[in-house]
Amino acid sequence: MTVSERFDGFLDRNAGRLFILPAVLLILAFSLFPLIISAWLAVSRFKIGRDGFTLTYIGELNFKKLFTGSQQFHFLGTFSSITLTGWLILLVTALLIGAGIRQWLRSGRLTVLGGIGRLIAFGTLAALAWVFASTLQDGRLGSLSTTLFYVVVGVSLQFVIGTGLAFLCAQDIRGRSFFRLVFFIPLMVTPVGIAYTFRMLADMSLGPFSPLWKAAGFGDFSWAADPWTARLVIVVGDSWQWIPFIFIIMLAAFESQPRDEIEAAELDGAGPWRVFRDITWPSVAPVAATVVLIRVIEAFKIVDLPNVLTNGGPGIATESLTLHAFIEWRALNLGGSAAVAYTLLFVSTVVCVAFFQLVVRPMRQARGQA
Amino acid sequence: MRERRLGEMSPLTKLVVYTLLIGWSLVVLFPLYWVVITSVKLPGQVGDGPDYLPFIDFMPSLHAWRYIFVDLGSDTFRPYLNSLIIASTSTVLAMSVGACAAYALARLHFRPRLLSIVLFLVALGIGVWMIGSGLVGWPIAAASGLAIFVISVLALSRVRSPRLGNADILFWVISQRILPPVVAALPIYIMFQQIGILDTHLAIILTYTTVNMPIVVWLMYDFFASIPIDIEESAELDGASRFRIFREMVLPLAKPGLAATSLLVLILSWNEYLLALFLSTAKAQTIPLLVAAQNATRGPQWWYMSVLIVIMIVPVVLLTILLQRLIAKGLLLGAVKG
Amino acid sequence: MTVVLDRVSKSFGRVEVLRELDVTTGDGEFLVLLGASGSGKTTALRMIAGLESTTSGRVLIGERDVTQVLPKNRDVAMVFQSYALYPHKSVAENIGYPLRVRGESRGEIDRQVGEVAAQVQLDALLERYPRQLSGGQRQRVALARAMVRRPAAFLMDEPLSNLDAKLRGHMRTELRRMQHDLGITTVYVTHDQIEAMTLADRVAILEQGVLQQLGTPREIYEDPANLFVAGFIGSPPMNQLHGRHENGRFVNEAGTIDTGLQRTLDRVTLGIRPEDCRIVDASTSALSGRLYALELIGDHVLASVTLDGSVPVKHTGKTDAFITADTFAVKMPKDYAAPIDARVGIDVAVEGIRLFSGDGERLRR
Repeated sequence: MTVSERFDGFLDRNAGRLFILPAVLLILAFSLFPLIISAWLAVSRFKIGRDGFTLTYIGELNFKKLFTGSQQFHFLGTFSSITLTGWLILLVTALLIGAGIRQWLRSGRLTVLGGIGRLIAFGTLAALAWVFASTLQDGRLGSLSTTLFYVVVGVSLQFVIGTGLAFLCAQDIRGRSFFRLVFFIPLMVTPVGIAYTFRMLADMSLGPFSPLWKAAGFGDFSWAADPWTARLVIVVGDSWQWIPFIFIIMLAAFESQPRDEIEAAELDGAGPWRVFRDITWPSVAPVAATVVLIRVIEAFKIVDLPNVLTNGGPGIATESLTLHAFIEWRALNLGGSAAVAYTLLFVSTVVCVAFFQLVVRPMRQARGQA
Repeated sequence: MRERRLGEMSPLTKLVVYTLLIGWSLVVLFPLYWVVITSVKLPGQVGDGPDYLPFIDFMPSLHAWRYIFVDLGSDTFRPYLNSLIIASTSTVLAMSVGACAAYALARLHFRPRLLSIVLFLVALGIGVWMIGSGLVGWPIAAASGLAIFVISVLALSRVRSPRLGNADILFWVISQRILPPVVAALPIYIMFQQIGILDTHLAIILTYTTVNMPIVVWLMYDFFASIPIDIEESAELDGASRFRIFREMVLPLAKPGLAATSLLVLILSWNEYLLALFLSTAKAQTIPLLVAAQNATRGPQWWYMSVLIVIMIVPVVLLTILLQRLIAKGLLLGAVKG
Repeated sequence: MTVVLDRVSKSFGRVEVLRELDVTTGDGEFLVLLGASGSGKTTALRMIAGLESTTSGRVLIGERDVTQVLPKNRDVAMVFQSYALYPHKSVAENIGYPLRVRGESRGEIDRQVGEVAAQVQLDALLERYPRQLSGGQRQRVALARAMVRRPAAFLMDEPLSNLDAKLRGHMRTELRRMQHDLGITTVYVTHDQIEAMTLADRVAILEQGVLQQLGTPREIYEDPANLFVAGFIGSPPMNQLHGRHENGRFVNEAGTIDTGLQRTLDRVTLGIRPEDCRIVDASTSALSGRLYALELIGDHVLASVTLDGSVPVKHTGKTDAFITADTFAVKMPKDYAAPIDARVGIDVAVEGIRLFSGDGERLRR
């Protein structure tokens, strides 16, 4: 074989590695490597010196500061007695965990790995619920609880409205492509722009809804000064942007239902509710679970809206974990920033993996998919 | 009473459905409308209270537009240009790298040894420790880490080890999206600072490429897998090399998927905020950063901010309309459903 | 060029798909790999092409050991079951693709494409795209693309199975003629025994990865090596009777048949083709039973008989009680008629008897 034939052969045999190498290198350099450095930062103290900076190892002190030390109010919140809502949340969490344990014991496949995984997942869930419930009293939530608020309340709201809209749009109506286009747009609008726009819209005195507010007696109320209304406005803005995502996917799911099964059921005399429960929902559930998972992954990262809409305020009321990490970084507290970031990574990974294993997988298996 | 056909709705139900749908359309369009008309309002008009209809409630004026474009010309153009350059370049790179990886995962068989991966992580950890302990500079630490890895792999090449497959690699690549960017932003900031490329286009382009590439892999994998394999096998027998097959057979047939994915990645890059916030200060400032920065100084000046927002979102809205048409053909959704 | 599979085996993980396949195709020969799905025939073909690797054994093309050679360097052309035409290229571009890859000049490509297209009557369709062509036309494009390379061997993977019955018959004839004119060694995979019998110089029958018999169509029809081959070839299939053999006769509940073979066996299967039997009067016949059904095929009548001693069948009218009868097939002249359920006898021609041992192997004298 000639030299060029040999080279050709070499290229062809190693084509796979060459194709995938750039992607792997990028991930190693800008994802994996930084991840490890971040871990190092999280256990160090960063100091600006004369010639540059120094990193000294301090073990778990950064984390201690966040969880039990001087930054606890910022990260977890201000603890007090558990309110009624708090107890409700704890109850729901306990029920969920109980159901999860029961499902696992019933499944008959008890592995060590499964056990450890569930221990971590349920333990984390319980801890998060407890923190949230305990800091609810004065509404002085830390960035962890606030982020959870955005994720749970935001995604639930988005899922309900998004699926509802999709269901309506899947009916026999005209103009479906028009609605599809219009409903899709908010998903792609720059979040920073959405943040500022909603700041304008929410303004009580100069915004477009001010006549409404004045008539209802809220003319002098400033939504940005109250922690809960501020958080609510952020959820509203976030939902405006992300409902389209759920809408598009669920609409596709509704449109691809097995028509034959529905017609057969209707011929057999099933009413609309039965059809929905027995045919539509099972075929749509795996997609719903997947889309909620994707949305939850993204929701944990929220930063544009809290930053631009409310600047984390009032005080720290609307700070998400990402924003908290950013603020620490600005204050040159790299160790603390990395600690916050790593906690975010831990919580979002546990929640996502748990959700995938315990909800998405079983639903897909029930439907006969892998 | 006329018998209803299967699936037809009563007039009342129809009314409710349409009302809700049209209602939501207003919810979607109103904020955009508000931003646009605010951009043609004068300061006084804003301060007096809300005016809803141009020419009827108030006289529109291009005062704010003129200010932004003429008076602040270069301050506006630079971020805009930066956004254009960064978004388009990182999209091209992400598509190239991602499509190649997706194709490899769809068609070729990988069976990496778990042992090699573990050895790699160990070597990486050693390298990081060396840098952190301050004993040696990072080039030496990197070289030693690499040497340790290569030597250990060669030494243990006979040792049997369980192997991973394509599905594992695919999962690893796609799962990069779970990573909150803020975790990587800090070290990347330090890394770039050490190399001296902070606040440059290159820094942000590299980062965006890494962040968006998993999406490309995720979406294009399904596309490539759905191309009938015998077309590629036939080309193989006809004498085409793997690269040739990819270029001449696979890419042309995957054009719709490539188009849709490119648009999506372009939009995401344009909109990105956090990483740009960390990695740029003045020269490489992108337009979301400009808006956020102006928010701090000009916050209450709605008219100016609205102009900035309009020019920021008009390109993505146009791209979105394009993208939606492609998605309406049923593309991309298979990836989520399946 | 000869194509040799030298003790080739293939396993996917723990599943063994081909076991020690040993086949040599002579230069210019038309070899058919025949078998049901899962028999390993397509895998064997793909291993010749290089699209599958061998777990053990060698593949030789000409004198060259190509076991480790990449598909593109093996100089074989393959016609896929789906034709694998390039949808985004015109017919001319499809046919010319191998030449383009090789770096031939534009003019040369056009000339050769034109030549081959004329041979398969595609010259009027060169500018069309695959989606604009009929099934038969697409198949000819696939053939032309294989022909233009003048390869060492043609490999064909059930190329006719996607055509309708009438076209299939016509294309069968054309394929045979073309292969004969070109003289290129061809390995052809199919599950259709009629295709195998009509096209092949020799047939290799595969079942579950194991070669059952390799021989000319006549050999496998007249002289099957085992029960599987006997039952697979022939339409309707060879009748099989299970029983004992002693004193030069085959014995079971339906009757006795003189075979002339002097062997004593407890378990034996007697095979006889429908055309070697005749329905006669029940009182003097070798076998006896009842007439189950008569079908007019056209040039003959196919009579199905339930022999004495076989399980009786009763259709109860319930949908799950659908049992098919164990019947014995006899070819009768086209004017044969008799009432259903009539008592009949069957005589067999001694030359048509094929005996098989208890484990299916052919007993030769």
